[in-house]
Amino acid sequence: MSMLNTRTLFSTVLLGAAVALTGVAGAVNADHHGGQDTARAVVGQKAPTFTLKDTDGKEHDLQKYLDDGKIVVLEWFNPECPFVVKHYDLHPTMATLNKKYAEHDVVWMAINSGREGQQGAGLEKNQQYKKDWEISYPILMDMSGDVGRMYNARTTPQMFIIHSNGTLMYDGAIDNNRSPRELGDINYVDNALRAILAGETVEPNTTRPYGCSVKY
Amino acid sequence: MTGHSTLHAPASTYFRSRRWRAFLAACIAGAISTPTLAQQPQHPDDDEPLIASLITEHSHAVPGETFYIGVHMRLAEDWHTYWDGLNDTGFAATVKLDLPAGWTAGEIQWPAPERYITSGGLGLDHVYHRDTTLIIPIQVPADATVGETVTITADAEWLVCQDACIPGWATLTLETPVRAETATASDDASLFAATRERTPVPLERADDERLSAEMDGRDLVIRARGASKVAFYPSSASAAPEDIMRTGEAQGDRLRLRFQLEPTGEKPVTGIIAIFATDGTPSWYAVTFPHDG
Repeated sequence: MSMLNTRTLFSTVLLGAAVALTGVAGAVNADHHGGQDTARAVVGQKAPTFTLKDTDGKEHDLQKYLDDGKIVVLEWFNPECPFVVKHYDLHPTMATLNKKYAEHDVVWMAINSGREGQQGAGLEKNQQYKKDWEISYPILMDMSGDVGRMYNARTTPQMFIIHSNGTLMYDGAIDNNRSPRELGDINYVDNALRAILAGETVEPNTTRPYGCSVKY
Repeated sequence: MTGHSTLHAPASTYFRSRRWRAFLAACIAGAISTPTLAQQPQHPDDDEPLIASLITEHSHAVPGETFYIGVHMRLAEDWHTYWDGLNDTGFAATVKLDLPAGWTAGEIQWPAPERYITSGGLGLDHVYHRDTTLIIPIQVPADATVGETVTITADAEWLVCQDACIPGWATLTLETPVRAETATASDDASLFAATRERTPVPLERADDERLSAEMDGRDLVIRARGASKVAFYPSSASAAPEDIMRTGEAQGDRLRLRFQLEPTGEKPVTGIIAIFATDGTPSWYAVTFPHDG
């Protein structure tokens, strides 16, 4: 499989679009769905799988985590979006939740679908924020935006939870307060993870996400 | 004249991290030669894209009458703020008032917004690309003491965006005398008048036989004879349209917009109808169709 090194994309200025397109084909692996390359994330259905590299160049294959029996949380991420800052710098929402469920076979991954040059995008910037904010989980780089579009990720943050059986269990906001400063009194992701681990129905399983637009 | 003062919190105080400050500094590089953030800029610019103040429509408050105040938000070019309706991203301004005992505030009278496709094209917001006054009616109690000067404080919070967004907030105060005689227009009265021209009127008050709106099953059907474009902006309390981005406005004189109405749902279809004349001039009407499930 022709997986391009993300760093190659950065340093390759002249090859431009042709290289980027090749990178896209390798980065988004929709083959798990019988060749459907137009897979879409729909709650209650099988979540589209993908392979992306994180800020350290390490590859993450969603299907492998599911095969290992993990529940996967995907968090759309842009460290320069005020609504993301709210849950990292003003309140430790993501760190606290990740820690709470880490021992319950829950894998947490942030995904940045920002195009190079856009706010909060780019490898170095995300490496820096990972260090500054002491983020313990990987930040996956989706600079083509293909995985973001596949999941119809519209905002940062926007949260998805995938059951180890592959079913998309939750799509929406992190909590019920759309303010860039104040936390809500309901954390939807906390609720959903608790329900999934208890074998209960996730309610609500879809909410309106809030935040910045994803900088495709 | 009613005095008003502004206390503006620079956006940079919000961001404690060095990275954020570096980012903001990069944004404003070149815009100002000596950054004096403690000093309030006279005009909004890319450094301070929004400057808020608290204004009044009239010279003074009169016991037993409605006294209109406004959070006036001046906006730098190419920036936008958010309407309090159904948006995919962003955050509409909030205002928390501290009023004298017995004085009560009504709801913010939001002017009509414009549709705005978010960067990336996956979302739709309703925004203001211009200076905006959020008018709030204040009911002055009948027993308010004539001759007294009262203080009104507003804690305002907002998000202002270009491609990137900056949150901001300010504690705004004004002092106004209470007098028995009829109030006269304040220096800021024209801002209130301009905002009211952009504020939707209830459809039943439109009294225009060319205009109609009705529910046809799950569809809101708007007809506006002679219009060049028709749009609908759903309120945050509204049932959600199936595809507001692609079907929320239509060229021509009619719009059919399908809603996600569930038999057990309780949300009404409510929002603003925007009608554009052939020369592009808009007019706005507020409608609510209670859920009759």
